[in-house]
Amino acid sequence: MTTEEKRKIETLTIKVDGKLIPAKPGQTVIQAAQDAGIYIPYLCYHPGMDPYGACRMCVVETEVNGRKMIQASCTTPVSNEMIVSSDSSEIKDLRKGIMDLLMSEHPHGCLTCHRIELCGPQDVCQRHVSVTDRCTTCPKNERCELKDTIRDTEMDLTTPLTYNRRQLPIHGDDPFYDRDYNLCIVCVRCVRVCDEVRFDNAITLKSRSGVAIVGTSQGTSLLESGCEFCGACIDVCPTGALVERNYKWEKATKKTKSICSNCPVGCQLIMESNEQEKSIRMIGDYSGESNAGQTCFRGKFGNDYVNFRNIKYPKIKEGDSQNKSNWEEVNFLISKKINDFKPSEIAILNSPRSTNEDFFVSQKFARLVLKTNNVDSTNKDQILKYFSKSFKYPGGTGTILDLENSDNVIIISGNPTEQQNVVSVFAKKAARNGANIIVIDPRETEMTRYSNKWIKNIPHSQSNLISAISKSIFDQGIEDKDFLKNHGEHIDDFKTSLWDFDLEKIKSEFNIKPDLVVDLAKIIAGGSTSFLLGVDGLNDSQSSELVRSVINLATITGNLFKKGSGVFPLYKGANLQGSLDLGHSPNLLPGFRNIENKKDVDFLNKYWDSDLSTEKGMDYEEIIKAIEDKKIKALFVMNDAFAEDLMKKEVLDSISKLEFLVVGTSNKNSLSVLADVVIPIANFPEREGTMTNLERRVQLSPKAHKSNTDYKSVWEFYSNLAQTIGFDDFNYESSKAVFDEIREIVKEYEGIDYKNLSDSGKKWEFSTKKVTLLPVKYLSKNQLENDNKGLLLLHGRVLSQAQHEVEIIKGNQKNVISKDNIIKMHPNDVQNLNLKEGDLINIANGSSFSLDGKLEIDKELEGTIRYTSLFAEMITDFSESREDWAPTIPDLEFKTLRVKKINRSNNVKR
Amino acid sequence: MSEVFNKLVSKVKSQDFDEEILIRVGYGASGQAAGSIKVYDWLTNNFKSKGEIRLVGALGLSYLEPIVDIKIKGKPRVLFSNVDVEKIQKITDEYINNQNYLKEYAFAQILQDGEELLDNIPELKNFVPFKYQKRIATRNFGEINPESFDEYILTGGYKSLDKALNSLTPENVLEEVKNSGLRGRGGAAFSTGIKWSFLAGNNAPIKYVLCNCEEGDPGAFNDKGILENDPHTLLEGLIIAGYATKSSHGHIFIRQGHNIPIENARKAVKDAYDNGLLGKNILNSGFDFEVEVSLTGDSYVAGEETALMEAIEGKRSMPRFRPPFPAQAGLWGKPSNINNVKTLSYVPWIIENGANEFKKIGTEKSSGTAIICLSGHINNKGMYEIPFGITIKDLLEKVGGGSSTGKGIKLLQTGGPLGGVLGKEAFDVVMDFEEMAKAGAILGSGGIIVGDQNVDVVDLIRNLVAFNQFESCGKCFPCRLGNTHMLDILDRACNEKSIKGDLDVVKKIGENMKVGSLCGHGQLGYNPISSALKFFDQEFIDKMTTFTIRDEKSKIPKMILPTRTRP
Ligand SMILES: Cc1cc2nc3c(=O)[nH]c(=O)nc-3n(C[C@H](O)[C@H](O)[C@H](O)COP(=O)(O)O)c2cc1C
Ligand code: SF4
Ligand code: SF4
Ligand code: SF4
Ligand code: FES
Repeated sequence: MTTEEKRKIETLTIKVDGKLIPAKPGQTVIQAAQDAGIYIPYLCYHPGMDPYGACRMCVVETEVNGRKMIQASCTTPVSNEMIVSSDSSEIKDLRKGIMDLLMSEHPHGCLTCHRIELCGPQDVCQRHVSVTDRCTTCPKNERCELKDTIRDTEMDLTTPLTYNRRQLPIHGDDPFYDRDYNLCIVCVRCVRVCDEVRFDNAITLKSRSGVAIVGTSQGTSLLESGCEFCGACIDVCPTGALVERNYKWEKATKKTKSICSNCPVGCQLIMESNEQEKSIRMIGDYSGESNAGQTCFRGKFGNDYVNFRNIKYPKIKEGDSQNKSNWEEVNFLISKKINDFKPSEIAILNSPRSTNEDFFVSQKFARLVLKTNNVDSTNKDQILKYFSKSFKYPGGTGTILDLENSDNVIIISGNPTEQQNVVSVFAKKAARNGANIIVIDPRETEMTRYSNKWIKNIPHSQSNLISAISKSIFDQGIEDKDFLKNHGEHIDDFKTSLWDFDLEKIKSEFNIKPDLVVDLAKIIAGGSTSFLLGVDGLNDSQSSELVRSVINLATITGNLFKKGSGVFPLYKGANLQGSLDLGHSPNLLPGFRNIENKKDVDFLNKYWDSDLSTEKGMDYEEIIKAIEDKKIKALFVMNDAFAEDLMKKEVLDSISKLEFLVVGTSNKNSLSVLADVVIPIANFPEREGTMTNLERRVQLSPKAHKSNTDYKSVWEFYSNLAQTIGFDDFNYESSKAVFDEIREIVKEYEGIDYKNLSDSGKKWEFSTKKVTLLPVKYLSKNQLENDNKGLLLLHGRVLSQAQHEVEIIKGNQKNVISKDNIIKMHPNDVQNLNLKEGDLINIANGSSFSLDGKLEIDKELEGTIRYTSLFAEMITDFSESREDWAPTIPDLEFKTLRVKKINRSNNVKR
Repeated sequence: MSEVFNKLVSKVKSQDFDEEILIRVGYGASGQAAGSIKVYDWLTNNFKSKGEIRLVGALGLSYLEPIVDIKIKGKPRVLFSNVDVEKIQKITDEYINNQNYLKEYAFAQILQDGEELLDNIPELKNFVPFKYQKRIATRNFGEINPESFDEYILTGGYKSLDKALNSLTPENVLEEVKNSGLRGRGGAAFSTGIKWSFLAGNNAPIKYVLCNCEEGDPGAFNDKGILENDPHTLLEGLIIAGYATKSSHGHIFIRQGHNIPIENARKAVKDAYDNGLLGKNILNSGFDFEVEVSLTGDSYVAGEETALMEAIEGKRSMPRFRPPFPAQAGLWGKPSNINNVKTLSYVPWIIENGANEFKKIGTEKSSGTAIICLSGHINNKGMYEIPFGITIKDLLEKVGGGSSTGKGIKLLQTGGPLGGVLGKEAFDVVMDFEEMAKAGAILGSGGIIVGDQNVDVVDLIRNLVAFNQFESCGKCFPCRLGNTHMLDILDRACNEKSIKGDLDVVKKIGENMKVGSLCGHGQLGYNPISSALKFFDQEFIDKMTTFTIRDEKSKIPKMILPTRTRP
C-alpha cells in the first residue's frame, strides 16, 4: 500500500450539517466537528479527558447506512460517510428541554433574561433576581461555559420548571479555593480529572438521583481527603462552583500564554490579567506540550508574588539609607566602581528562574566586561553536570508526556510529586496503564503509594544497587547488544569495573538481596524503562556515582532515545538547564564549550572579538565561601530572594561586609537591604524571554503586563551597563536579538526559531547520541559510615494517611493540622537509648528541626528515624507563606538527629 | 452419557436412601416469611426419629405457604397448606399416626406409579392455579432441596451439560439455543442465541458470561426464586452459555441483601467445583470455565448491563455509554455477554429436549413460558410458569383467582417500575412480548401487580416515578433531573396543587428522557406515565387540570417518599 492510499484509509469523511469534513478513525463525532471548526454544544465533555456521556447537550442525529439515531456526539465514534445533523429543530428542542431541566437547579434568573449582556453588578435588577442568584455576582461570570451553551441553545426567556436552589453551604475553609456546590451542574468533570488525570481521587460523585452531587466522600475539607491542590478540577469546572479564592471576583481583560518558573517542568499556563495589569489566575494550558494542561499547586497558586512588587526604581545606598535614583546614575556608578576590583574579586549570580537571554548576556558581561569566570546560578544542584560526563551534554533524555508509554518507571532519590509535579502525573498515568513503578528511596513519598516495588535502601547505597543490576544484566546476557554497539562507548572499562559488585558482598553489607537484583535486572531489560533520577541527600561523590551508574544501566538496556524511556534529571531550579546551555557557569562556556579547551575558547574569542580569561572561575558554593573569606569583594545578584544559602545569617553577615553589592529584584528582601545598588528587575509577566525545561524544551514566556515604570530584564540591565562602559557588542534591541546570537553560538539551539516558540516550544536535540560508559565504583559500607554519623532522619510526606486521625483546627485566616506523629525506629537503636514502644519522644537537629511524637518500633533500616508528614501540613504552611515572593517548599531533607524521651509534648500542634 | 458423568451420577445414586416417611417443608423465601421455620423446628424436635425431614424450595404457590409435603411409603405425596405449629401437630397425629389425611388441610396430592389416589384431594397437576403451568425453568421447585447437589443430580441435573460438552460442539449448542427462539427475560426480550453469537464471534482469550440477578423490580421475585429454589439449574445454564460462546469466566451477579440467593449460589458454585463441573477440563471435555459470585450494593440501576460491569469492577454502578458494546469490550474491557437468571435457566431444558420442543410452547414470536409473579389485589399470589399465549383475563381470573378484595380488577402494573400499566381494555390481549408492548406495557421480567377499582392511578404512577427518581444513578441529566421534575409534578397533582400546564410539561420531559437519556432507566422512565395516560387519561386530566377541592377523607395520604430527593 502506498502512503497515499494509507492516508486515504486513515481519514474518513463525514457530513455534518451538510458540510463534508474529514475525520480520523477512532475520533468521536464532536472531536471531528471541533477539528473542522463546527461547534456542537457540550458540558460534560472535556478534551483532556475520556468522554463521559452524561449531560446529553451534545446530542446529534446520526445516519449510517440509512439508519437514523439520536446519539451523544461526544461518545459516538465516526464512521465513514456518516451523516450528522446537529442543528435540526428536533435536536434543538431536545437540547432546550435538557437545558430547561438544568436551569431548574442552577440560578438562572439572569441566564434567561434579555438584559444579560447589558447588566452590571451595580444595576437595579428589573427582574427581581435575588442577589445570590445573579450571574453578575458569580465569580465565573464572563468565563462560564454554561452561559455559552445557553446562548447556543437559544433558550426561551422562561422555563416552565420550578427552580430549586440547593441551599448548600459554601466550602471556604480550604486553602486557595472555594467550592459552592449551589452552582454545580454535576457534570463530574472535576471528579473525573482528579481520578483519570491526577489519580488522586480526592473528590467523588456522591449519592444519586436528584441529590447526586460532587464533593469529598465524607464531606470533609480537601486537606483531609488527599487533595494535592493542583487546581485541575478548578480549571475544568464549567461553572462557578469551583473557583480560586484569590481575585475571585476579578474579571480578566487579557490572557497570555506563560511559562511557570517555579520548577523545571516549565508548565505552560494561561495567565489571566486584570485591568490593573495584575496577574489574577493561572490556568493549565491543555495544548501545552510540556504539561498537557496539568500543573501543580505552585504553578496554580504560587505566582502571586508578581503582584506585590515593591522595588519600583533604582536605588543607591548613601550612608545608611537607600535613596531613589535613576538608570543613568546607577550605570555610571557601577561602571566606575567595577574598576576598583580585580576580575577574580568580582562575581555574578543569577537565580535559576532567569531566562536564557538573562543567562547569556550576564555571563557575557562577566567574561567580556568584568573578565571573570566567577559566574553561576544560585543553585547547588550539580546533577546536570554529572550528566555531561556520560552524555557529553548536561541534560537528560526523554519527554514528559511520553512517560505514560513506559513499561517501567523507576524513581530514585527524588520526590517528583512535590518538586517536579507534572513529571509524576505522567508517571502515575503509566502506573494506571499497568507499568511497574519502582521507588528506590527510603523516604515514604507519594510515589511509594503507586509503586509495586519500594526499595528502602539506606540512602547512600543506591549506586551500588544500580550497578549491581547492571552486573546482573551482563551476567544474564540480557543487555541490549544492538543499542550498545550503536550508542555505547568504553563498554569494556565499565564491564571490568562491575567486577567489584559482588552480589553476596552487597547482601552482607547492605542487606540487598541477590534475588531482588536479578529480578530488577529482568524487569528493566524486559521493557521500556524511564528513570526519574534525583540526588536528594547525597554528597558530591555519591551523586556523581549514582548518576553515572543509572546512565550506564539505561544504556546497556537500550532505554535511551526511544519511546517510553529516558533518564529524567530531577533538579529543582526552573531554568538550570538553560543556564548550562548558555554557559552561565564558571567553567562551561556557551554551547557546551569548555574553558579548558583551547579550540572552544578560540571560537568564542573570534566570534566576540574578545580575549577571554581562561583562569578557572568559582561556582556558587565557592563564591559564598570566597565572600566569607573576603576574596570576593564585589557581587552582583539578580532575580533572587530565595537562595537559601545566601540568606543564612552568617552569609548575610559577610555579604554586608562586601565592598560593593548590586542586587536586582522586584521585591525587597534581606539581601536587597544590604545592597549598594538596588535595581528593579522585571518579573516574568513584565518581560519576554525563553527558558529551557528538564526535557530540554525551549519555551517562550511573552511579556504580558505593560508598565509605566522602567523595570528591566536582567539581560537588558547588563547590556545597557556594558554599553555605558563602552562595549558596543552588547547592543540588543530585543530578547529575540539575544536569542539570535545564542543560535549562532549554541549549535543545538540553531534550529529553534524564536518566532515559532510561542506555541509549544521546541526541544533541542543531542547532536551525538553516543554515551560514554564511565567505570563505576563500589561504595563500601565503612566509607559510608564515616560519612554519616548519628541517626539519620528519613522524612517522608504523602497526600493521605488513612491510618491517622487528622484534625483540622480552623483559625480565622489559617488552618492548623493536628495529627498523631508516629516516629519509627529500629529495635537496636532504641535499645541504646533506653526507649520503648509508645514512648513520647522528641527528635531534633540543633535549632532547625524539632518534632515530638510517639515511638513505634519496627525492624527496618537500622540507624535511621522514619517519620512521614502529611501534605496538608505543608500546603497550609505554603498557603500562609509570604505573599511577596514565590514560596518555596521544604525539601524532604536527610538530617542527622538526636532523640530524647519527653513527658509532655510541647508541639502537639505542629 | 459420558463415562465421567456416569461415575458422578452413580456415586450420588449409591448414597440415595429409601425412607418410610419423608416430609418436605417449603423453605423458599415465601415459606420462610409465612413461618415455615417454626414448623420445621417443631418437626425436627418432635419427629426426627420417625422419618426424614427435608427442606425444599417453594412451589410458587406463595398464598398457600407454609406448605408441608408428606410422603408415606406406598402412598401419594400429600401437600398441606398454610401449616403452622398447631396444624402440624394435628397433621402428624392424624395422618402419620392414624392414616387420616385431614382433607381440610390438604390441598393437593402427587401421585407416582403404582400408587392409589386419595379421595377428595385434587392431584397437584390438576390443582388450580398450578395446572395452568408448564414448568421448565421451575421444574424442580418444591421437589428438591436447593442446597443439595445430590438431589439436583438425582432429578437429572447436569445431564444437559454433559450432553453439550461431550456430544455437541459449541456451534451446535448455539444453533440449538438460536432455533429455540429463546428471548431474554431480563426486560428487552432480545434473542439469546443472536446475543451469544456476538460473543462467540470474538476470539479473545478471556471472555465473560455474566448472569444478572440484580432483580430490583418491586413485584418481581422470579430471579431470586430460581436461586432460592433451584440454583443448579441456573449454574448449569451458565456453564453451557460459557461453552457455547467459548468463554473463560462467568459471574453470577446478585444484589446485596438477596441473602438466600447469595448463599445458595455460593454453595452451588462450590459444589460444582468440588464435583469437577467447574474449573479445568470439565467432565473431561477439555473445556475450562471459572465462575464467581459477585455482589453489588443497593442500586436498581446496577441491573443495567454496563452498570453491572462497573459494579463488578468495584466502581460506582453507573451505566457506560455504547459503543463499545459489551461483546466488544465489557467487563474489565474484555468481551462479555450478559443474561438474566431466567433466560439461562431455560437452557438446560432446551439442550435436553431440543429446540423444537421449546418452540412448540408459547406463541410464534415468544417461545416458551413466562415466569409470572402475581401480587397485589389478587387471590392466588405467587409465582407461576405459564406458556405464552394465555390472555391477560385468563391469567387474572384462572391463574390468579380474581380480585382479592372483591372490588374488581382495574389495572395491572407490569414490567417493573419502568414498565407500565394496563387497563381493562387490554385484558383480552394475549401474553406475548410484542402484544403486550403494543398494548402499552412491557412484560419485562414477569412481575405483575394487580390493582382493584379503588386504586388511584395517579398516585400509583407517582409511586413508580418516585422509585425511578430515587434509583436514578445520577449520571445523565435528562434522567436525574427529568425524574425529579416528573415526581414534583405528580406530587403536586396528588396534593391538589397542580399548576396550569403541568401535564404538558410532564409529557415534554418524558419524551426528552426517552430520546435523551444514556441508559434504559431514563429512556424507559416515562413508560409508566405514558401507558397510564393511554388508559386513564381522564384521571390525570381531572387531577391536574380541574382544581376541585375534594373532601378530607378521600384525600390521598401523603406518600412516603425516599428521605431526600434533592440536595
Ligand atoms: C435500569 C435497568 C435495570 C435493569 N435491571 C435488570 C435486572 O435487575 N435484572 C436483569 O436481568 N436485567 C435487568 N436489566 C436489563 C439488563 O440491562 C440486560 O438487558 C439483561 O440482563 C439482559 O439479559 P437477557 O438478555 O437475558 O434479558 C435492567 C436494565 C435497566 C436499564
Ligand atoms: S485540586 Fe485536589 S481535588 Fe482538584 S483535581 Fe487536584 S487533587 Fe483533585
Ligand atoms: S463542581 Fe464544577 S466540574 Fe465539578 S461537577 Fe460541579 S460543575 Fe462540574
Ligand atoms: S438514564 Fe438514569 S440511570 Fe441511566 S445513566 Fe442516565 S441517570 Fe443513570
Ligand atoms: S458532552 Fe456529550 S454527553 Fe455531555
